[in-house]
Amino acid sequence: MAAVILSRLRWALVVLVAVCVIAFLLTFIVPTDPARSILGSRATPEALARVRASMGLDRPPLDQLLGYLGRLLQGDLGISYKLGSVRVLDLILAKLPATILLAFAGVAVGLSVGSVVGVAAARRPGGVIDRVASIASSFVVSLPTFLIALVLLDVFAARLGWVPIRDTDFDPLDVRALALPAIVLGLAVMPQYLRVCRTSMREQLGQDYIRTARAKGLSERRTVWRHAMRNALPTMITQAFLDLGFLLGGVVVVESVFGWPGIGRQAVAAITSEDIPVLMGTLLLSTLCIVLANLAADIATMLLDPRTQEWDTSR
Amino acid sequence: MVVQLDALDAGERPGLTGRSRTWSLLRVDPGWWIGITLLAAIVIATTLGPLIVGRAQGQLFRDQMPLDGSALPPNDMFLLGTDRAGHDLLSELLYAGRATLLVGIAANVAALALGTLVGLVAGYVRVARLGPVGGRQVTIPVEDLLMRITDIALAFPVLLLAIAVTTVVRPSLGVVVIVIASVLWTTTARLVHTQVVQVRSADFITAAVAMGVGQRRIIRRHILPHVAPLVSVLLPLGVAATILFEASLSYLGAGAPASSPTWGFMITDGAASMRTDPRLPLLPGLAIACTVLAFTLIGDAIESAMDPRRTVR
Repeated sequence: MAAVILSRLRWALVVLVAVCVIAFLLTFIVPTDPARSILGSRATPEALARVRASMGLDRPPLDQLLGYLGRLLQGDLGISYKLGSVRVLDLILAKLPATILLAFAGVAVGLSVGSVVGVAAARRPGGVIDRVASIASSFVVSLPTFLIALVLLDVFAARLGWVPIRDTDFDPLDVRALALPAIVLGLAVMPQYLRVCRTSMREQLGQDYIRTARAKGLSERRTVWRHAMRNALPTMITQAFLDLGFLLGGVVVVESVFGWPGIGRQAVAAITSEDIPVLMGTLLLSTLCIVLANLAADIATMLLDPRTQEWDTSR
Repeated sequence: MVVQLDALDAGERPGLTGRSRTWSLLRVDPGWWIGITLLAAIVIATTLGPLIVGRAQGQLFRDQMPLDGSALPPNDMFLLGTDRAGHDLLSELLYAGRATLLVGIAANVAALALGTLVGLVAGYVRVARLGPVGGRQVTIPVEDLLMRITDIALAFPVLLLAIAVTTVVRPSLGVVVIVIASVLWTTTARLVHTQVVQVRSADFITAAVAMGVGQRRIIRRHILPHVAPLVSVLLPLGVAATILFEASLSYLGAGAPASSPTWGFMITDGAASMRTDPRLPLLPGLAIACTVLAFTLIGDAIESAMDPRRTVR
């Protein structure tokens, strides 16, 4: 198992370096001059040249790339073009907790609703719950997430006033503020948990050990939740890890609609204001999250399902 | 004897395979028919509709508009009313439908083509032996190389990347198509690759190679037929995903330009009037929902019809 993890880690490193290089290339394609971004449009040519020299922008591209990678190794993501001498790392770390909170809350909502409904649907395939769940989830996946968010925001915040409407300085720990974004995010990820849970539960419920459990007189609840669920869970946990990895890298759309102070919204703002270092930093962090989540999903599968431990280590 | 024959008929009919089997399963699937009808209605409405309504795209009716800057509600002249700028909402919806379908289908076909090509080449070619260069045999690990590139592309946060690119390049429908295709090909590549890996070691491939069948013919006649079902499922499902992706891009200001709006653009444009006039964001939203639902129903129907475990009744 250690060998598998080690080979995955090595691969993760390759992906990260590749993303660094691609993110760096983006700065060359972008038709903006960093020096001008920093100093504004009325800067003198001398001042621009001075800033360029101090940032090393007059050196050859390969030199700059190596310098950038070297600074990355020291945890230095550079300095924001727009916000004075603020370090990008600090900017991202300041917004990260809000994103982490939202991502976990969203996946928790999706996972719990998806698994409860999925189990109910699997116990009576073709029954009322199964049909309603299937119709409801095809409806949800057919709508753009931001439209669902806009409608809920209109109904619950503007009309009913149950939750605060986008505040500039709200407290991310306020449960009322978290509720709507988490529900929207949960709705967006829920259908796949429902699908996975229903499929694997149906498969498990047809197995011999379930018949044995029922035959020896275990209660139905215990049979379903303790016996069948334990075997259906690994696939869902894997999915949850992959989703978390993807969402931790910035819940771009939901954060934008609700004005949630996370890194996704910050990255979108950085794109519009051409603050390239912030965008690059977020891209790198997002990739890191996705790569680590893939690794975590693999490890979780191995721990939860002993059969997968004898994996091919050649990869 | 008669009884036995009847029993055989009611069960699996071994003679029915391939396309005729798929078709006979599709024919009895209500989801397939709902999807096809819905899609046909949308396609006909967006292609012929503007001709019937007879208003040019972007045509303004400023002289009809109320002075307080609000939109006109539905009336005799404008069946669905107007938007706040003074466009006829019905014709705008129909024109935007054209753009949405165009982006959805074009981007998805491009992504599928690229993904299938990468998956097929990676799965079948595996290692390319070039002729001796400078006295040494040069080999390229095509499979590893291509699939590693796919992995890297899969690990990229696609939405952020797509926004970043569309802000650099002046957005037009063509750019949006290219951007979406270049971030969505990866899943296809991986699925096709897995499929090819499963097929490539099959006995009939070994037999074909032993008989001296050329590589091209093997790919065309023996590998592609096994990839085709997968692609025919990914085609409708991919269009659904692409339309939703474009809508998100539009919402973040990186989708279709204002000169050729899509439904996603219209929702975003009308989002501010959600409170006062929900018609403006909700009608294009409904249009997206119907279209995505149609493609999803068709994809799901094809997928379950091609499931070899199903029996034809």
